Order: sequence, then C-alpha cells, then structure tokens
Amino acid sequence: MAIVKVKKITFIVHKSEKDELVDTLQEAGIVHISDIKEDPDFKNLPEVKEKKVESTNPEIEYTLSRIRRVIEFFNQFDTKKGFLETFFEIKPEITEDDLKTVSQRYDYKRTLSRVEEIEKRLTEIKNLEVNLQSKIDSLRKWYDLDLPLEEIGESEKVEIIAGTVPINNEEELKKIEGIETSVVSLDSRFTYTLIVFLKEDAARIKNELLKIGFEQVDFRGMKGRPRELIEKYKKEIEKLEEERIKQTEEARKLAQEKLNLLIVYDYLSNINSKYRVSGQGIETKATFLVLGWIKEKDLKKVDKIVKKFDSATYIVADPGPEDNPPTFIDNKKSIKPFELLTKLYGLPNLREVDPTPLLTPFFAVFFGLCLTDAGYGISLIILSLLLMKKLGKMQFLVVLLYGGITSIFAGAMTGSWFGDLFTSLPIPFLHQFRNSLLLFDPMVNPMPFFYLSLAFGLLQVELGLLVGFYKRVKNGEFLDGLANELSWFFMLLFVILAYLISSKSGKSFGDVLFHSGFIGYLMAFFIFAPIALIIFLSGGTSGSFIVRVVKGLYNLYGVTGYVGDLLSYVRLMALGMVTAGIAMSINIVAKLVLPVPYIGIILAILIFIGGHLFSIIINVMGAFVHSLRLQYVEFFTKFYDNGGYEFKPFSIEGYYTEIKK
Amino acid sequence: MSGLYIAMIGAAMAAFMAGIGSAIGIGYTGRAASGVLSEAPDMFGRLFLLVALPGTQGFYGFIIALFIILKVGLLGTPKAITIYQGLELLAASLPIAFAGLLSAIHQGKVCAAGIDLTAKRPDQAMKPVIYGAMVETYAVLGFLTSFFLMINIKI
Repeated sequence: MAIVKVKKITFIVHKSEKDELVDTLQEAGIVHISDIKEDPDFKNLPEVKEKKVESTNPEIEYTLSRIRRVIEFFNQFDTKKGFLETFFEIKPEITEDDLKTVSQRYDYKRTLSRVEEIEKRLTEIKNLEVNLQSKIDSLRKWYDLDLPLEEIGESEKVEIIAGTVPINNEEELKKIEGIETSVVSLDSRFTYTLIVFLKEDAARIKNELLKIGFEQVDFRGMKGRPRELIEKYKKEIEKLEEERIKQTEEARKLAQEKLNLLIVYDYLSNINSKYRVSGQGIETKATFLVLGWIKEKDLKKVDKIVKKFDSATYIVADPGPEDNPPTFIDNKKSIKPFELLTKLYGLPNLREVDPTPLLTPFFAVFFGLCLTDAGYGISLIILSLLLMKKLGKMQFLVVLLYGGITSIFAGAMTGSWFGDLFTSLPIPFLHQFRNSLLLFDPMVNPMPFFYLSLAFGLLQVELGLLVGFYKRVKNGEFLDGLANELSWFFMLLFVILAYLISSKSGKSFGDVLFHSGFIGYLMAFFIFAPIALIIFLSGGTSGSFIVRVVKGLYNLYGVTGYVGDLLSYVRLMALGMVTAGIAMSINIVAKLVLPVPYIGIILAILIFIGGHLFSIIINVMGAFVHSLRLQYVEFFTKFYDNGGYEFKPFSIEGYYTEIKK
Repeated sequence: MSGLYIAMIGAAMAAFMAGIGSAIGIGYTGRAASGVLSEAPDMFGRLFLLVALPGTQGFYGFIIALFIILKVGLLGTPKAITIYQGLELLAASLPIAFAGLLSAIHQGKVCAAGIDLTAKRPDQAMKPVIYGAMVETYAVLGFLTSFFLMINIKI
C-alpha cells in the first residue's frame, strides 16, 4: 500500500564529464544505480555485451583491505566495551566535511606501514620466544651436566653421546660392554644419561643402545654448559619481552588514531563505489551512459543536477514487464518502525502489497498479550526510553516501546502486575486498584484468554485472506481469488458463526443451518457455495475436468491447515500464562526469604529486582519471537510473497561511521 | 495422603524433563555460538536469541511444576490428595515433560544450524529464529495441554 513508485532513469553525458556526473549523483543520493549489463533494454546491444570496464580500483581496494586489517588489530586496544555495545552496533558520528578534511590531512599511509611493521615484529617475537622456551625446556633435565655442550660428539678416539634411557632398562644399560655412563638426572620415566665409548665400538654399541630404547638428544649448535645456556636464553626472553611491551605500547598509542582510520576508510570506500558505479554504466565513442531507478517525487531534483553539465541529458521511463525495480516502502511516521519487521522477512516487489500497516496493530497487540503484565509493560517502556536516550531512536526500540504500551493494557485487563504482586502484598489499595481494572483473571478462569487468542487469530487469518483476494483482483486474477481466498474467507467465517450459534442456543449444527429460516439458509449458502467453488474452480484452468476436481478436493483438504493456523494463536495465551507463572514464582521465592533475620528484607528486594529483570528479558524475547512468527507463518502466507530488494540510492555512505549531512 | 507423592512425581517430571531438554538444547547452541565467537567476537548480540531460544521449555516445565506444587499446597500446609487425584496430576504433567524434553533438543539443533547460517550471513540472523519458533510450537502446545488438564483437576 505504501510502496513508493519508482521510474527508470537513464543519464547520458559526454565522456569528458563522466566523473563529474558520478560525483554529482553520489552527492545527490537519490538514484539507485543498476548494472546496464542486466537491463532488459540494453543487455542485448553488442556494445553492452562486449563491454569491459574495471568496476573497482585495485589500488584503493588494496588500501581498504590494509586499513581493515589494521583496524582489526587496533580493536584489541579498545577500552572495554559496554554491555550495550555487545548487542547494538554504535558508530561514531562524523560530518561529510570531516570525511574529506581528515582524509587529506591525516597521514594514514605512515600509520598503516608503522602498524604493519609492529604487527610483523610482534609475531616474530612470539615465535622467537616459543623457540627459546622449548630450548630451555629441553635443557632443564641436563642442568647438572658440568660439560660444555660442544664437547659432546666425536673426538679423535672417543665418542660422547647424550640421551634418555627408559628407567626400567637401566640394568640392561649396565650390561653393555665398553661404555662409561654418567646419569645427569632422572624422572619417573627416564634417566638422562651421558655415555662415552671408543669410536671403534660405535656401531655395535649404538645398535645395542637402540635395543634398550635409548634416544639420543641432539645438542648441535649449542655452546656452553646447560646451566649457562638456560640463563642466557632466559635473558634473551626477558629482552624480547621488553621489546614486546615497547612495541605494544607504541601500537596502543597509534590506536588512538583509530577514529581517523575509520574516517579514511569510509572516505576511500566512497571513492571506490564511484568506480563501481562507473563500471555499471557504459562508454560509447563520445558518451557515457548510466541507468538506475529513482523515486517519482525525486524527479524534480534531476533537472537541477543535469543543468550543471554542458552535455548531460536524461530519459525517464516506467518499469516494463521485464524490469525488476528495487522497492522502497514508505509509511506514516507512527508505523514506520515496523518496516523493520517487513524487511526482516523480505521486501515486497512492485506487484505486491506493503504488509507493514497490516501487521503493525497485530504485532503490537500480540506482543502485549504474550507479555501480559502491566508491571513488565511499564518497565519495558522505561528500559526502551533509556536505551533510546543512549543509542538514538532505533526502530527496534520503538517497536519494544509500542509493545510495552500494549502489555500494560493486557496486564491490567488480566490483573497481572509483576505477576501476583498486588494481591500478595497486604495493601488494600493495591487490591482495589487491580480489581477495578480487572476484566478476567486467567489464573482462576483461563477460558476467556483462550477464546480471545482464537478471536484474534480468526481476525488476522480472515484479514490475510481478504488482502490476498484484493491482490489477485489487482493482478487480474479475479476467478482464482474467488475460488481460493474469498471462498475460504466466507466458509471459515460462517462455519464458526454457525458453530457459535449452535453452542449458544443448544441446537445441533444442522438445525442451525436448515431449520432456522432464512438466516440459516443464508449461512448454509455461504458455507456450501465456497466449498463448491473450491472443488470446481480452485484446481486451475488447465487439465481435464477430473484432474481439476481432484486438485480442488485436495485444496479443500487445506481446511486442516486453517484449523492449525487458528490453534497456533493459542500461543498468545500460553506465553501470557508463562509470564504470569514465572513472575509469581519470583514473588514466592522473595517471600520465602523474608523471614531470614536482619538481611531478609534486603535479600527479598534483591531477588525481586534481579528475578523480574531476568523474567522481563526472557519473556520479552519470547513475546517478540512468537508475535513475529504469527505474522510470518500464519498471516503472510495468506497473501504475501516477498521478492523485492531494497532501494539503495547511490550516495555517500559510512561503513564504520555515521555520516551526518 | 499417598496421592501427594504421585503428584510430587508429576511436578518433578515436568520440571526435570523439560529442564534436561533445555539444557541439552542450549548445550548445542552454546557450543555452536562459542565456535562462531572465536572468529567473530562482535556476533554475541546477534547470536543471543538463537542461543537462548531452546531455554524456554525449561520454563514451561517449571511453571507446570509450580502450579502443581501450589495446587497441592506444598508451599503451605499440604492438602489431602487421593491416589486418583495424584495420578491425575501426574498425567497432567506428562505433555510438557515429554514435549519439552524432545522439542528443546531438536530446537537446539535447529538453532545451532541457524547460528552457522548467521555466522556466514549476519544479515540473516532473524530467519533461523523463525525456524526455531516453529519447533517451539509443539512445546507451547504441550504446555497448554498440561495447563488445561491441571486447571480442571478438582481438589
């Protein structure tokens, strides 16, 4: 309903003015550029087919990726993130002027290369440290060896080797002839042993050592006694550690320039997107041509843009049948926040209806029924107002605010104020206040809540069917609409009406229809005529009569689906009861700790506040998810096919920052 | 008096079976989300809903347990419960006990898959939540059945 009309616009300009045109379009921010290669009017032209345009600037792309890396590296120095920031993304605000001035003044290339050096050095240091530490670990067992390590190995006549022997095989070691051994240290599994033998026996002895599980340790490249070496390595690690701290400190200082880097990133990425847009157009011998979509109301502004150029002109056209224009939905300010929910599902295409105004009242009411607590409603309003103050007027928070308001009504209606708080406190005024607003108490008599949920379900399903019918008529499919949506609409309505009358009056269902005079027959007509329509018409127009009727009968079987849809709305009641139950249990526990001497009252208050805060989060979550599900699964399926994509005008955008005009 | 024991078994089953289900379900989602966070720590907020979603069954079971406890007066002076009343209360606890146990486990698997999806396409965080809510429907129905059974038992 509120889908904004868009038109296709094609700009033609002399090649020499191409860059200015792209600049101007970006600044204006009103045209959604689309690729000329995919446009049905142009894509078959030989020039377009063969076009090869660099769509981005590799040098800028490279710089952008370097900046991204450095920003990620800087993130470790961020002051601790607030609780809110883990849930919401908060971008720093800058102006368009900042974008240019900061990027020109700030020597980001120097920062980038310095940070990259530091990062590289830090990795090196880490590797060196690991290496040294593993050397220390391997030397530790040889600490008591009073022999410079370079002397291990072969000399003129003798050979010295060092290694480990499994502790069980020590006896066998002693049995080997022609060796001198010296145990340096031992642990629960090995002895760390030095073995000396004559070189001429080497082959035999090594073979025998192998048999008893001897493993040689390699000290090549190490000079000095183990204890000296360990000291030396420890000192080296200390030095590296000092350097690491120094380097990190410098990086931490550089990280203070992070905001500047964010700005440069956005500046460069906006330049990059100009290359992208140029690539989506095409150059001929003398002209540059680019096309896109524009909102009808923005067409006035185009003349102003074109006037700046000597050679520019433009063509406006309505979207043709082959076109797939982007969608821009625009609603009244009061329901605009709920566009969020539509976008989550997927935007409508041009032939669709914007479901936002339809889902808004239902979502708000359902949310309230799921939460069903006036105390929680008030808390939710306060919480979302506080968050808005900190984070700005985010759509999500406005939706929560609406939900808080409906929760107050639902809670007052069912007498739920922080669960059963008002009835469990011995304050008569609160009892009277609660009871004066009370419509029914679901803890005593849950059935009204049950029927209320079903009634809302019927209302929404029926509305969905009507909208579906409207959509079919709009697209010239009146008969299909009559045989499907409209038939179901009347059948559901009158079956339920007749059932209600029969249960109220005590007459049987058949008597209500056929023995109640004209009104009865009228109801019977609206039940059986739709059934006939579904059987004979809903099977489509192709295929033989039998096939169509079988299809129609199968469609009639869809009644189980409608029963399921209606029952699905009972979740409104279930979630309302769960809220009341959790809240009541918190109150009970708070009451139980009250008799604890001295600190009882404090404990009770802590449990009350903490418990209800937790319960609000849990139940708001449930209320949101389930209200949304009812829109998507039960409501949208009756009329809505998403298939649109978002209208995103080519403009100056911030990736890391929020750019204010 | 012996009916009280049977009613207590009912309350216990509602709470512990649905609770086990939720614990296993969040076990799946928590592990999947931690895996994602190791690569992208900023996703915590976006994944929160998917991680917490299988937790609701435990609450449904707890609420039914609480209603049974209140009904037999365990928090004050216990009422005289016949064996038949006890059996009725036990029967009332079964829908949420079993629907809660199994739906929470499967919801956990659905949500863990949703976490993988969100990790790859962060803009799609809300769609897997809807799939999770589809599984939850049957826990809600179990809760409602337990609730209606229990509310109509006369003591």
